[in-house]
Amino acid sequence: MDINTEIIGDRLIEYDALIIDSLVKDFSTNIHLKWHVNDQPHELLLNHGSRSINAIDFKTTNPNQIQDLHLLISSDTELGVNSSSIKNLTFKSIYLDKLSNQTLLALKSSQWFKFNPVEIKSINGYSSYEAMYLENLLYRLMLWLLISTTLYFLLNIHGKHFVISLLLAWLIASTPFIFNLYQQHQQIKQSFEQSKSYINNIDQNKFRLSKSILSEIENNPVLSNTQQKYIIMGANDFDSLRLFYYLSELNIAIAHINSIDSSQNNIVYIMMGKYLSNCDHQNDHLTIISQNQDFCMAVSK
Amino acid sequence: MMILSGLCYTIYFIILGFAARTSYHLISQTKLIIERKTDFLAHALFSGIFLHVLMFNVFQLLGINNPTALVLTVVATLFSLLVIITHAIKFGTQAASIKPTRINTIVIILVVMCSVGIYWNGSLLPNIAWDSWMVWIGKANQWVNHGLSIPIHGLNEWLSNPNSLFNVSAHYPDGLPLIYFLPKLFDINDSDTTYVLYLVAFAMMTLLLTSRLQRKGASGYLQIFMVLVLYTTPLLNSHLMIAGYADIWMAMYIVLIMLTFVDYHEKQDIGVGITLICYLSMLPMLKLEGWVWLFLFIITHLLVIAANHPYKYRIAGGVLVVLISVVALGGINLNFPVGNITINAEKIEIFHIINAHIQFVDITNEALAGFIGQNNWSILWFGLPFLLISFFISKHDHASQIAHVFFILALFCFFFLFYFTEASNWAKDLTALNRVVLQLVPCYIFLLFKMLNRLKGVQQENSTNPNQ
Repeated sequence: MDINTEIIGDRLIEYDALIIDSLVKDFSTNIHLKWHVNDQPHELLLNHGSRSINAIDFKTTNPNQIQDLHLLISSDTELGVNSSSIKNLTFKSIYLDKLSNQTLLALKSSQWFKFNPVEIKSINGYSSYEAMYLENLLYRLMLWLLISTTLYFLLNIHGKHFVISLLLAWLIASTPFIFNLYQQHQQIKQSFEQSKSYINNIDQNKFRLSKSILSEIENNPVLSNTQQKYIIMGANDFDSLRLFYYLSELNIAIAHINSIDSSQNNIVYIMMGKYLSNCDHQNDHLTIISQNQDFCMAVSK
Repeated sequence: MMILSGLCYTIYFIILGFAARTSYHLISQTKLIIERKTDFLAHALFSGIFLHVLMFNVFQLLGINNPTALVLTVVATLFSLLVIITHAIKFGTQAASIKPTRINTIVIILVVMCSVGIYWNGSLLPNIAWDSWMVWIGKANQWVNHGLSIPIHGLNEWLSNPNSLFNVSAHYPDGLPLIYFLPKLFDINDSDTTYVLYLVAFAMMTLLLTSRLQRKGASGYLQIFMVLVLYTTPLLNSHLMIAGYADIWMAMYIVLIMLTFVDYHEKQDIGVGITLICYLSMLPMLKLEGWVWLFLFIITHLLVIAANHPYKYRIAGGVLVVLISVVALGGINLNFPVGNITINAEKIEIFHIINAHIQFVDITNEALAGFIGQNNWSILWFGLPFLLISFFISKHDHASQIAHVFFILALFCFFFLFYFTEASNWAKDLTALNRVVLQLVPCYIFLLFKMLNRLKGVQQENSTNPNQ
């Protein structure tokens, strides 16, 4: 969705907020504001919430340097099997504005209650290095705690009162966290409403691929040897590892193409994706025993 | 069904641990004292998990196949039940007379509510924990399909050994895969069953910590506050919601070891000592860094013994002389058939457990992002300087010294590993930096609340043992 910056002209730089009113969308749909400054791409992920207030820093003071300003609506496919297509998204109005026109409460609650989705990397931390949007709340709470501690030591206040001030600080900091858990619940429900059997579409495809491979092995007379070893050609990435996971009934490994040892004649190589090209042309090391559009299997000559 | 299978699996571990603990009392002809139900059940559960892993390790060593392993497990469970019943008949059940106080009831209800809250989110998720499906469940799948006793190797060994399996993390220990393995043998959803075990184990640990805090004379509100902190600390919470990583198990066992160490120094009981050894052995069975924590606990133990020894200054002098000699000689370089011990300015190598080249990498930005930017996680670290100061300015008994010395050593070790070894790679990509800290967090939270409990006017007035 392009934004015509020519109409706005030089006033563009005066705006430091993008507001969307009455926004309704699902949690796997993301809206990014994107632009270029001196050919350098910049982007901002817009907040969820019915009134989405987003602070913008155009990274320049010259409005003529802002090029290709547009909104990109995309689907987050990391989790969930049905999130590839963009679902309904509605809003009442969308406009550029100044942050000073917003009330402090609206501004801060939009910032502090920003949705932080469940992702695979969530296991490593709560928020990413680039998105520490609670930082200013936390610094304020730290200052409060520092004052409480000073008062405890200097004025000899009752320990119970000091503990209560700590409890209050903890509850304030926990409120966005608990609210986010509620939002994450909606996100998880939407992402896995039909089935939680697969992590995402790639995972589901790998499951289907594993079934095809197993079926091919069962029906191919060359591969009837149960002592056979198999190697999935590829890196230790999500695709290869999930296929490995689904093929655990085979004696199977994952290796890069450079690791092929031509002296290993009891191994069947399974190739998919970019490795399929090994099966397309004449290969000095491999004899193709099965090939289709999704995978091919070969043994050393 | 998922909750039921998870609870049954938890009861299986409790039966194993319960029987082991009662066996000790049967052998030593002493009365089993179930001082607090939560204490006893928590220790029974965590001891049971250790025994399960040990038992299956023995099965692997003996080359036992899967059906036999299943039969032996059933036999072990029935035998454990027999031991418990024998003990109950011989000595009676004392625990039945213990009634929980009002605060105990509130704490238990709160813990159950928090667990249900996390389950509310986590049960809807598939297993997205990378380490879990790749390594822990990955190995369990391989054992189910090919046999428990088939060795799992890296690529080169797998290629050269016809009777072996491959895993990208073959060198990781087998503790957690063995926990996932048993439900698979019964053809039950292992991931969902073990998820309930994660939540119950954490709840048991929480109850154990609140019980300890109560024993130190802590008021009800402080106990409730600690439960809230344990369940709303971001990383602890996300490791319970996206269950499957071993770090939370490390965290639980580290805090248990710390408490059991304290108990051992207080009581000098052989049974407590055996429990301690079991928990310590569990660390390297769960994760490779378990070896580091194990070494630190041993060093802590030695340091506390030395610090309270009548010849402590001579011992300190002797250690200083050895250290100066090592520095003067340019380090240690010892070669053994089982591996090398090398410690110098370039490298630390301890057998095949640790092999790290020393090089300074500045990870300050990542550490600050990890510690300060993570929601209420940062509020937690506000207490760290005060805790460290309190270790030095307050007078502590020997038992408390163990907890404090371990915590300081662990922090020192953490910063050393991430600033000076290849571990900095996992700090730079923000993957393991917080997760290693997570392993110390329950221990830290407990010490923090123990410190708060010592503040003026916080303890209950009728406290019997206020200064421990």
